[in-house]
Amino acid sequence: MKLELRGVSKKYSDHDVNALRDVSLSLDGGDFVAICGPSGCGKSTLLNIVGLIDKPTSGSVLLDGEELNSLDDEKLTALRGKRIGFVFQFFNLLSTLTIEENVALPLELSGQTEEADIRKKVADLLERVGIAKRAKFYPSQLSGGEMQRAAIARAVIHAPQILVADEPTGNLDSESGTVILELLKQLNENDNQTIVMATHSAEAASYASRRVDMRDGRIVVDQASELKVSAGEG
Amino acid sequence: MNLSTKLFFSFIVRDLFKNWVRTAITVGGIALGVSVFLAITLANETALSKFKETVDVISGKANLEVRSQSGRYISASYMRDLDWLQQLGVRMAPMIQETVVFGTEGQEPVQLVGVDVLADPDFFAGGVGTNESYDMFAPDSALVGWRLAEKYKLKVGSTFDLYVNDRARQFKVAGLLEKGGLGGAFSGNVVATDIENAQAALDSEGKVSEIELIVPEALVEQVKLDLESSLPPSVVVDRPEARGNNVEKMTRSFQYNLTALAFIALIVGMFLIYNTITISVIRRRGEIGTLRALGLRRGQVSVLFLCEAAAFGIVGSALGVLAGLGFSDGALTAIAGTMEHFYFQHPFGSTSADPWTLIRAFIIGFVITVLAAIPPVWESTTVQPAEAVRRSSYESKVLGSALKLSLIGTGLFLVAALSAQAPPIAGFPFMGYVSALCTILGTAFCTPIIVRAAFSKLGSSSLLKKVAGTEGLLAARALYGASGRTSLAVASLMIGISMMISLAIMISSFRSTVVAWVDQTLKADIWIQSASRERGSRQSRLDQSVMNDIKVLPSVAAVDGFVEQRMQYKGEPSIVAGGDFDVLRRFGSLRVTSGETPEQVFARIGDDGCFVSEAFAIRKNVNTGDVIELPTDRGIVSLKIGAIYYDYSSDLGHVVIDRALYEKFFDDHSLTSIAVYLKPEADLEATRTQISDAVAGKSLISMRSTRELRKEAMRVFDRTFAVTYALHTIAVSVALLSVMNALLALSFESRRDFGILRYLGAQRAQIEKIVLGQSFFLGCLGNITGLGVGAILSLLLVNVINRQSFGWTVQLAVPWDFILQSGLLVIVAALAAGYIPARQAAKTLAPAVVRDE
Repeated sequence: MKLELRGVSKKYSDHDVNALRDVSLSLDGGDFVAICGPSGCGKSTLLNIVGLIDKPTSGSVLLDGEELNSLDDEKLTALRGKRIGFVFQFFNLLSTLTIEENVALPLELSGQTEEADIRKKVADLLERVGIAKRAKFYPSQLSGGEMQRAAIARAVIHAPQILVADEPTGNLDSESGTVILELLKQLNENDNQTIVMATHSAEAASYASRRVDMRDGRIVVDQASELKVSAGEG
Repeated sequence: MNLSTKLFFSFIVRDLFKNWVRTAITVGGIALGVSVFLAITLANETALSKFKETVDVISGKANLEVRSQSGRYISASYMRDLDWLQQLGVRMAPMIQETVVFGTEGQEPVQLVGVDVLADPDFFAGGVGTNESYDMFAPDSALVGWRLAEKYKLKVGSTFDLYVNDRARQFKVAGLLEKGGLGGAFSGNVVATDIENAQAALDSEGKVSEIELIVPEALVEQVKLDLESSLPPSVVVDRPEARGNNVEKMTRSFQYNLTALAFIALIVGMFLIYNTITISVIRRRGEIGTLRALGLRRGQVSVLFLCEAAAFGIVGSALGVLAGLGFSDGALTAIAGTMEHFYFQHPFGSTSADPWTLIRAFIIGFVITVLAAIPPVWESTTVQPAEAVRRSSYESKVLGSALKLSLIGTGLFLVAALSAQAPPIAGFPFMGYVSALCTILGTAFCTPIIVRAAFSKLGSSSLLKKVAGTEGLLAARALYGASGRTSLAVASLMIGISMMISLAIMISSFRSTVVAWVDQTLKADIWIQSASRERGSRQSRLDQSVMNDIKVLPSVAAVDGFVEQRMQYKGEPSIVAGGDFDVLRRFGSLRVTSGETPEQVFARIGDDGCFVSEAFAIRKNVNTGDVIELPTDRGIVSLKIGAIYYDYSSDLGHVVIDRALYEKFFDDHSLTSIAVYLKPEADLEATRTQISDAVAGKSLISMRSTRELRKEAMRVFDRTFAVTYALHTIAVSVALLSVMNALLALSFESRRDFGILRYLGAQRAQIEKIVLGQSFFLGCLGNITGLGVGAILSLLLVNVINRQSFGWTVQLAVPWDFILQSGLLVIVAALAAGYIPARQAAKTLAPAVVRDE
């Protein structure tokens, strides 16, 4: 998998704001990239473009060499449904669905109908993220950390090529945040999952293999960071 | 500009413009409700006011009149008997009038008025109404009203035909009546002539319709008492305006029920407002919380939202008044046929708008809007600032109070059950309507618990997922999660549909009962009435010679001459009729409530008893075996009720006696209609020809076979209920606006969920499918609850309201085909209502809404 952003700019016409200015970025399979920077620097806009939820005003986005700018909404959505997974700061689980139903959602929305297969995948994944016992619970019955684990399970259930995480620990206490970051790191190391994570936190950024710093819509630093030695190893 | 005004413009008015679809729906709903209510009110009021205006014009300055209680004639000889009144300074003038058919081209009913032009000019308010020289003393000369002159381009010297009873007579135009004075009566559809000319035309020499009296005001009551004691009981002595009151009494049930029906659209509109303001409050709970946290007082928040409701009320009611003025002529046309057929004849023309009626409709619309807004506004102020900013707090509140609300609902059901047992109040089924209202409100209060139960079950159904996919499941779950808002939409739809279903069951039951009744009672083969009656002159008669000519035809087995006229029974309008008991006995065309055969009944009754119709028995509270006192030209006559028979031809109630007795009591030998029974071997068409030949040159008659008469009866029936259909369609339309409103709000509230789904790969079409799924489920639940409540309401309408209003027993008949079709139509309409919200939801910008926490 290779995702390339070439000279991407994004201007929001209703606010007359240049959220991204001539950004170029290349992501390879297995990358764990932390996008860092202060509020309003363009992190989320960059994530939306990487996550195929938004289109650049200028510049191009290529996935495995295929130019995506010309794709219509339907095709982009289909691509997103198959190849991208999202984790949000506020978890964004649907309150009316149980945890297992939330996790199964990407598969079901993409048209998979094999109920037994879906159930097995969901059960395995919930086991892996450590909340198997909460499968039948509703989001409001879970702690913040548990909800984020469920959100991660939902984000990877369909084996996406890129996992986009927007401040995944921003709404968690430090202990829960560490658990989530460990989980992301495991996914990256064990499953070669590509992860792009926006964060304010230097601690969180240290879990990534590469750090991209942004200011005023531009990338100011793009460097491979030293791999954080996990607590277990430490 | 003070803070409250600033906040009103920035917080409320801007939001109204921003959410213009929701604003338009709400204003449209109020406008529709107010317009229907106003249109029906104007139509009802115009019908009565035109009649009263005509009475004023015809009576002039007369303050007392002597007339027949039947609405037909009294002997002109009473004039001589009243000579003594002149010593008291009383002035008198006779008048004769009758609805006849103007026949040159249009064949439309007009009023023939015979006046004594030599009488005191005070009897003609504003004069006769023409300054041209004319001669209406000349035989067969008349003045014609301005409208007739305009419509048929009549000039002095033109000739025209008048169909009077079963004869036609040619008149010459002696002058044209202008809009003032007599020419203003009957909206200008009047032919005036000298009283002797009119008497000759009406074959009523020696008779008059009324004697107008101008009595010194101080003596009116005394003169009235003196005249009542000296004249026969079949003669009424009263102020002219009492005629208007009689018409009002006669049409009261019809008009009240129509107004009650029109009110339904307003009640449904009330739910729409409740819905809109609730949604407005829910949607802005966060902002309310912020404003409260910044120091805004509860009262100020209340005022803001009440002002929003008031803005809806003012704009919606004003538009409703304008639209109502536009619809009113249509409403008048819709009810005019029924009024003329069943109650009284008068050219209604177009509606006249009394400013007070318009103001009243506006005030009702405004007050209902503000009242409907009070509960959600109250809710908005009781919320604590911290609680207000939480999205789920409203739903938690509804969930918490669902049980309490359903207990209130159960209490309302109990009140409904008790009210249904109560008798009518002043002849109006007031408690029946209370029962219907309690049933509707009771169900509305139980809706949250019904919605939660239904969507909880549906949302966990694996079958639903298989059939409707994940989108279907998500739709059901979203509705369950937003039970508070969903309940409002379902309640609105339930009310609209229940009204539609209940009215459909009532009309179907009524129709099938009338069909069965027509089949069982129309046993004769040919039915004859005068040509002018056929064309709209309801009082028109046939000469008995017509019956005698037909009776002798070889193919005729028997004829039954039937005559009827209005009477006042205990101050209420009713009908007395004469029929041939011998023929009725032999051919058995009366169905009695006791279930006895005609032979059994007639053997018991004899020729001097009477039958009363069910409507008479119920409305006058009499029963078989009771003795009633009938006012006749021969004085008060006591008659024993032999049996009560089913009759759906009039709600005024009939007393039927043998025709020989009728002729004796009323000195009336004419006939309203003739039923001809043929011998088994007789040919129908050949006999019709024989009858035409037999009366040719003597009588202008109209003949109908039983099949044709049945068809006509059903045509009249369908015309009578056409306005009912229109009213319940409007009520359902308002309910659908409510559904659309709720879906828009639900879509708005679900934006974040839709955004998440878009992140997870949901296509726009899938989002649309979810919203349309919600519309479908709302439509289905609205249908199911509406059907249940509609069934209960139909029982109330048929067995309580209808029976107490009109005195008719109606057998229940459920129009399954209509229910199925309308159910499907409601679902299609609900899906259509969901179209705009679905499109809006599909356009959800994922990043914008998902990050907005």
